[in-house]
Amino acid sequence: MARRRRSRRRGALPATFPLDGEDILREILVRLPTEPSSLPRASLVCKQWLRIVSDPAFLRRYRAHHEEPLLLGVFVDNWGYPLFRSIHTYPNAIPQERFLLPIDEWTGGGWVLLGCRHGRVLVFNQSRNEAIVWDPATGDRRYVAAPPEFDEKDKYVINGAVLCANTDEDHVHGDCHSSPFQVVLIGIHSNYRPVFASFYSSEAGVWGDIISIEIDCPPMYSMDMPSNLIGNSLYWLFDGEVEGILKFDLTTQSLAVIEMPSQFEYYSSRRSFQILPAEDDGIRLASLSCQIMEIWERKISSDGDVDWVMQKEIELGVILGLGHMGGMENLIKAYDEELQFILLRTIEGVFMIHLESMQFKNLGKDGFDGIIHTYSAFCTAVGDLAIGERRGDVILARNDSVSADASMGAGAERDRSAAASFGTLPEEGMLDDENMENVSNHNQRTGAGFKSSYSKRTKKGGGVTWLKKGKHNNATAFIGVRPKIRKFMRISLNTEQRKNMARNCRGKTKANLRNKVRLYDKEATSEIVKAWAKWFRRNGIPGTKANCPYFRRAIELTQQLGARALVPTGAIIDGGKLDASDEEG
Amino acid sequence: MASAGSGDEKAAAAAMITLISSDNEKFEVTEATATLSQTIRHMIEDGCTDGGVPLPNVTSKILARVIEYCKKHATAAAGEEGSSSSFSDAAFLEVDRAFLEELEEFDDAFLEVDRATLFDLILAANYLDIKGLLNLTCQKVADSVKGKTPEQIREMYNIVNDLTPEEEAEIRRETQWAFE
Repeated sequence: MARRRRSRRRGALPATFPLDGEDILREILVRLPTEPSSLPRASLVCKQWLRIVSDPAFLRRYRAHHEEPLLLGVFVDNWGYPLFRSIHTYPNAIPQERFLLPIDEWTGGGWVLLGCRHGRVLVFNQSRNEAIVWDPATGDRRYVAAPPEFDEKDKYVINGAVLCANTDEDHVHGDCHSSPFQVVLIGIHSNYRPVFASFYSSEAGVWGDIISIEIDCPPMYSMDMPSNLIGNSLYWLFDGEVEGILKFDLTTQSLAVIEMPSQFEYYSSRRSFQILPAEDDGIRLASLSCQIMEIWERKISSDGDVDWVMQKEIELGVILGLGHMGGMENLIKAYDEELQFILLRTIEGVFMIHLESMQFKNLGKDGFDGIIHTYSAFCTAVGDLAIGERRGDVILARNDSVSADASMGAGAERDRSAAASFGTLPEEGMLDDENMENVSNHNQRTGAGFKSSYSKRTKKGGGVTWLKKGKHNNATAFIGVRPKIRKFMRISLNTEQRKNMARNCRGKTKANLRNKVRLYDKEATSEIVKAWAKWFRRNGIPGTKANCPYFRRAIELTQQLGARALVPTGAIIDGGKLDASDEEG
Repeated sequence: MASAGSGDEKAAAAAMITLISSDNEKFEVTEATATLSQTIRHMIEDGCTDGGVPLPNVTSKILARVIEYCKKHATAAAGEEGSSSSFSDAAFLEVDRAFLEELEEFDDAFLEVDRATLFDLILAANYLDIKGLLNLTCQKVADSVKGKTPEQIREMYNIVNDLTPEEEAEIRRETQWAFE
């Protein structure tokens, strides 16, 4: 009897996947790993599998089962435009074009990628004074107009953060698509202080009051690195007259400035920093200098005294097996809050290092130029991601037409038309160092080939070109200057003013004049070098890029124009137009 | 195994449950072992276990394996409860770790079965509602398709591809990077 029943059961089930109904198959598929290729591949097995892995209810279970999304890669701030870069290899490397912010959002320029958290990306448009909260997985975009106080004249938005507001116990971050979110914008007065913050909750749909901190607020010039959420506070590293940490407490909605360990107060081009979490929602600070990483902890004693204590010193070169692993090239690039990975640039590539276990992986060299933001999400491919993909297609199609246009010839008209499509998105591979070199060394690469390549990267060259245009048009009407740029330019302008003074000084020989200029230059040079070095480092740009003719031309022009030219904003730079004569450099 | 516990004292026998496989084999197990199955737990609560619990969907071969799993895990659960009160934290953690390691080893060895048995175990775990066993066995199948192409998965489990070429092309187009 038993045998008969058994054989009947076997016989009733098709093939060798003997699963009664769909429930058990669902139980199995929900346990597929979170690797990006898992669900796309499962969906291609048969109709039943496709139906299951496309079902929103299944996807909710899948995320709930795994609890933690996978770190898919990073978004690189490519002059304001978020470009995705996978940290995985085939078949789990999601291509760049899958996560593209639609082109219509990009036109007009003036964008800053502010942050990336809980599957969402926060981008700020300076010209429209508007934040976009973008969900790359679904393509969903929410627009939030900045508080009117951030007028981009007196007060600029310099950083910000997005986070999921879902505090349900069973909520899995990474499945936040429909959850409410919060945005914090950090602004600064054009005099570099005070610093402001404003808090937005999508549930309330309004911005809270502008919070500012004036007392004990040192002048801040830049705050480029993304925020870190530790406990219920957001932290940012800033630099200005001194280096420091800005804290925004989400519970009390208050701002505070935290001093760095005293030896790190003043900028050193040899060091880079990263805020790390400590026990009991405290903070630590990682400092990297050449191959030595120091971890400092901020201790608060029972009577409220605060002190930074060095916890440990890590010889990364030894751990990574790289020996001295270079010097100034080593740079902390990012930190993933969820997985507690630090991303470290070295001459051998970008290393992902888990600081607790000291496990590491080399992610390669290409595609990490600029400020980077880690991005974790569930790749449910068939369900949500298809939308993003379709949008990506539209963008690429447009981009193709632009590059085709530009490659038709080296004619000025065509070039202008290509360059004028300022929304032109970079194509895949754009971030390659090789391509960067193509731009830097464009003098050796003439003709259509270069121009086509250049047209596609108009954003890269835009800044310089605009300055060049400034020369032709005597355009001085730059408004909305970002503090960090203004600082650099001020130094240049001082030099120029001194030069002018020297030039106007009558009764002196030319030789005297030259000496005088040289003398002044000497005084200013170290300051300029320091300021630019800081900017290069902060943005992850190798120092050799200063040899790029565009950079040199921009500096020359700044020197020539002096106080007549105000400093361009990102919006103006991205809105600038290239023409053929500008490309001669 | 089938006669385990039959000669024990009445007190022990009172906590014994008889399970009857589809091929009419009888298995006597402790209540602690049997109640890892939510299905049996409900039957005990409803007082319908007198004269044994017939399990017409489970063969003796599979039931024996299921009971083996439940015994081990019931012991582990009891051991954990007992140890928490009699050891210091550190010692408890040590014991806990040892238990978990032993359990993991057991689970790994337990899963060393052919595919047909694995699926029978899944069906039994599902029918008997034994969460741990269902998780263990389903995860094993999920792991077996990890990194496999759709073609390899179909071949492994003899699944017929009934997708239309259009459907297939659409999916491939949308997630090309996972297949190239």
